[in-house]
Amino acid sequence: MIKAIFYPLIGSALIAITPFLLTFEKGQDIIHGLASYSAFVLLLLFNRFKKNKIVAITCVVVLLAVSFMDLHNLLLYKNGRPMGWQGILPVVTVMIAIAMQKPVIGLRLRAISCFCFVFFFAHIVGLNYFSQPLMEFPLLKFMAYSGSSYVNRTTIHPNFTSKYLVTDSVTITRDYLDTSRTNVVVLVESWGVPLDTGEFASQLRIFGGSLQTAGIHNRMYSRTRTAEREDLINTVNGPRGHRDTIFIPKLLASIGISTTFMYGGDSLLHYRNKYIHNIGFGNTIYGERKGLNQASICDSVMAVKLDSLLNSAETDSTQKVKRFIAWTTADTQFPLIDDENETNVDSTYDARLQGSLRLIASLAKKHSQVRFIVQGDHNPILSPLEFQNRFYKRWVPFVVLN
Amino acid sequence: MSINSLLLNMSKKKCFVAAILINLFFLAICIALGELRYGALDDYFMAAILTGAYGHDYNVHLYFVNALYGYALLPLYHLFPNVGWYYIGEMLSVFLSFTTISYVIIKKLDIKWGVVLATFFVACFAGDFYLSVQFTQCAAILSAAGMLMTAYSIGENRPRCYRLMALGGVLLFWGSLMRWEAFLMGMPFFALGLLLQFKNCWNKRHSLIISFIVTMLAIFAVHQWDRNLYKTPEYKTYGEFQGPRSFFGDGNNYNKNAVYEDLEELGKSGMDLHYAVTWTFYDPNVYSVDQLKELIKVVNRYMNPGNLSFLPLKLIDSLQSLAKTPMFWAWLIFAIMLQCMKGRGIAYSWLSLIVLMSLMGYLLGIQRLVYRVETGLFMYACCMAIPFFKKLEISISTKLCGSILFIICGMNMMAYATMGDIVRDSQTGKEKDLHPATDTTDFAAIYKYMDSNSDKFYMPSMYINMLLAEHQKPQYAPTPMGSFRKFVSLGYWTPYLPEITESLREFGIENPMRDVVLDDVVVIGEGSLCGYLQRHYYDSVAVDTVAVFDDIVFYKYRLVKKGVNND
Repeated sequence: MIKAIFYPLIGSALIAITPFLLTFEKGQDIIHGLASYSAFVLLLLFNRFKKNKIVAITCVVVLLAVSFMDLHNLLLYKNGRPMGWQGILPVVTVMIAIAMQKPVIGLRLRAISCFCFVFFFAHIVGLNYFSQPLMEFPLLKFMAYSGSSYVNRTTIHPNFTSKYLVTDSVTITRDYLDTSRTNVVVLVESWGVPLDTGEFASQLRIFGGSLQTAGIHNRMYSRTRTAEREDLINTVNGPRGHRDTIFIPKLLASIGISTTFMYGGDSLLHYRNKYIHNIGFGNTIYGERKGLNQASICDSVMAVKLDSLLNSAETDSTQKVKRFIAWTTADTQFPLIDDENETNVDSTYDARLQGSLRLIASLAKKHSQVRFIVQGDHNPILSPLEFQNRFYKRWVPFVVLN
Repeated sequence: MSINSLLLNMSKKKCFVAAILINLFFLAICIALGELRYGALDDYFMAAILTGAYGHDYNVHLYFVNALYGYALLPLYHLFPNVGWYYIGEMLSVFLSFTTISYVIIKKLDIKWGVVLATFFVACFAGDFYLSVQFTQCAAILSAAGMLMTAYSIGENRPRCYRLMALGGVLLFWGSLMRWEAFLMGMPFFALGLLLQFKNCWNKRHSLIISFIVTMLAIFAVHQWDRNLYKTPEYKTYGEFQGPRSFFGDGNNYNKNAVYEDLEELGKSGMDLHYAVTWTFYDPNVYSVDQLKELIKVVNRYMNPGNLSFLPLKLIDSLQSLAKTPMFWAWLIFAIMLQCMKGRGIAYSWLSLIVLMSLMGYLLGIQRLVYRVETGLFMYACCMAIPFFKKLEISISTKLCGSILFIICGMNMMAYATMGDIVRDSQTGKEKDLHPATDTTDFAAIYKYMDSNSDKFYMPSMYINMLLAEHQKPQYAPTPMGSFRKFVSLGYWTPYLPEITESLREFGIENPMRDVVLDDVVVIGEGSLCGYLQRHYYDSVAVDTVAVFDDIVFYKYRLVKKGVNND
């Protein structure tokens, strides 16, 4: 009786501890049980069904599988190191454990059930009193770590960093502003950085030859309101609590440049009626609210308005009126109009975004003297989570044209 | 009458007397040495609604507990208005259930072993059930006792079997009144207990089916009747509000930051979500049922995905923390006993573990696993184990039996005497002191202050509402009629209760959160509403501190510039 319990217990301890000790490294903090519970149960069953070859062989095969899972879990903790020479360990330990069972006469199923139950709860109760757990559950751990679906949306992939400019800075507008010419700053609604580098490349191809610089930059908040303001900051002076922010439009207006803010939606949305004036814009072009918070004037119409503004700047070449125009697009604003049930978010978003980018690209091609600084305001929030998971979090693209 | 049947009769009585004595002992030490409190304050406020604290008359619309319970208590309230019958009813339900369970344990084993095990069982659960009595737990223990009675009755001989079955039906019915969900929660265990003794069920199939149908019809009819009470025009808003209210108040398995961000980007305020989550939502404009449903739509997008793969490991963790509680040991010892006994018990002990884990896993998945529910689950698992007990082969001497009883009872008395005011928190299951040394607030002074300024209308935050209730009169005294008419929380689950709406209207308040700026309205414990008020209603609002009692602050909001912001 005692043999029938202790031999499997020692066998399962051998299976659990050997790989742990042989992969041990200084400073590791892996908590690992003394004996493998699955191995214990399987060895008890193996002893019971020694004479029934099919069951016995099944037990051994499952035992091998579980032991490999245990090793896999251990290596996964060490940053997923690939299995090398250690691969031999489960085979060896399982063979020794099985060989050990030779003198054991199997218990009745009732007794097996009872001991399994008691050992399981001995483990549970023991957890409260000892820092060393009694049992190891390789199968449960394997399930847990193989089933998790975590998407890394914060660390930029090296592929990206090698091809494009990646910066924490939000002073893109200030850095690329050319005060000797007319500048257009476009904030593209919900333009995020796709995890797929190829997709980003295809978006950039829209700009063709006008493209000067392309990259991505970080934003602290995913809010259009914040983006509109922080992009136009020139300097922040004074100590904490008494900050005095100087915005670019105010500065440009003071040297005689005409400043215009354009947004196809309602001026009351996000209190634009208040802060746009404070930033220092002389002229504003607004539309009206449509639906929940969408804009009444679509991007193509806004592009025409922008075009005529730029035309007037160029025709006035005698006086050389320089302009500074900020435009926040609206077509890609979520929730997308006409797609209430969010069934075609992917395709609708892609089509709209490409539409907006094309408008900007053609304007840039037509007015090659004008500098265009195009940025995203935030990654697409307000959309279904699976869609949001295709974009980096708090990163937006920026593009400098002409 | 033959001597044989007389002896049988005697031993029958003996079991019953022993069961009563065990439970009287525990009830007595709980009352004498323990600190009697409600486990959660919901009971306190339901009792207050029942005694008409918010209005002018008794009101049976308890919402969580079936209105029939209220109706049943009304005659008693009319006869003895100075007794908190709501509390007494709950204590009685616990006592009756414990006695029933003890009786069955003693009957299943012989008297000596039975008394030892029943005493052990009651000792394991008594603290949690008597000292912090709570309607969810009452429902669980009543239903568990009812299910046990039914499962036990089918193994008994005929005339007796009917009586026991009827008793089981009554207990089940009462259990379903106290809390519907807690009653349903026991069904898997009930099914398991009956299925594993299918042979007995088959022998008694007619009586079992009839009693089952009668009980279930009664239970479902009364439940439906109760739910329909909240569909009448008067109670419609109140009833409809409860769903969204608990969604924000209790649920937190979503990404709050992402929702906040989305709301801001939508042109709404993320702070409005904050107030909804912190139970400050008595505003029929901003937090109407429709508006809350709109908010829920935004929240639903960011619900944490139920990650099944991590669940087994999490369950082992929660089992580990439960291993510190006596109720876990009651179940574990029962289960190990079944493992060693002949019959189907061995299957029950594994299957009940699986059912326990599945239910706990489900609740863990929706992040609603609280201790008072766990006690219910373990109670069910324990009770349904009892029918599988077989007479023990090892006999126990009277002396040993007496000394074990003495040790259990002595240890319990010691524990209650020294730690009577330490109970397990009904939310977390951690031990908590009912009189922590850090609590130095002079509540008597607060009540005195409020009494001396009785012309004011008080709006406590939900936390203060509960804190003040917790320190008011003992539970066995009823809250006087009309005593809360000028004391209405900004949150909690009471908004839109018709009698509260009425007393607000009498005071000229239509929208509690908007009207905090009225002259005689004082807010307790919520001084950060200025931003909210300016966002939704007024140009400029200021807040003054009226009185301070340690952490409890009385605030007065006022308009800086008169006039409602119309844009």
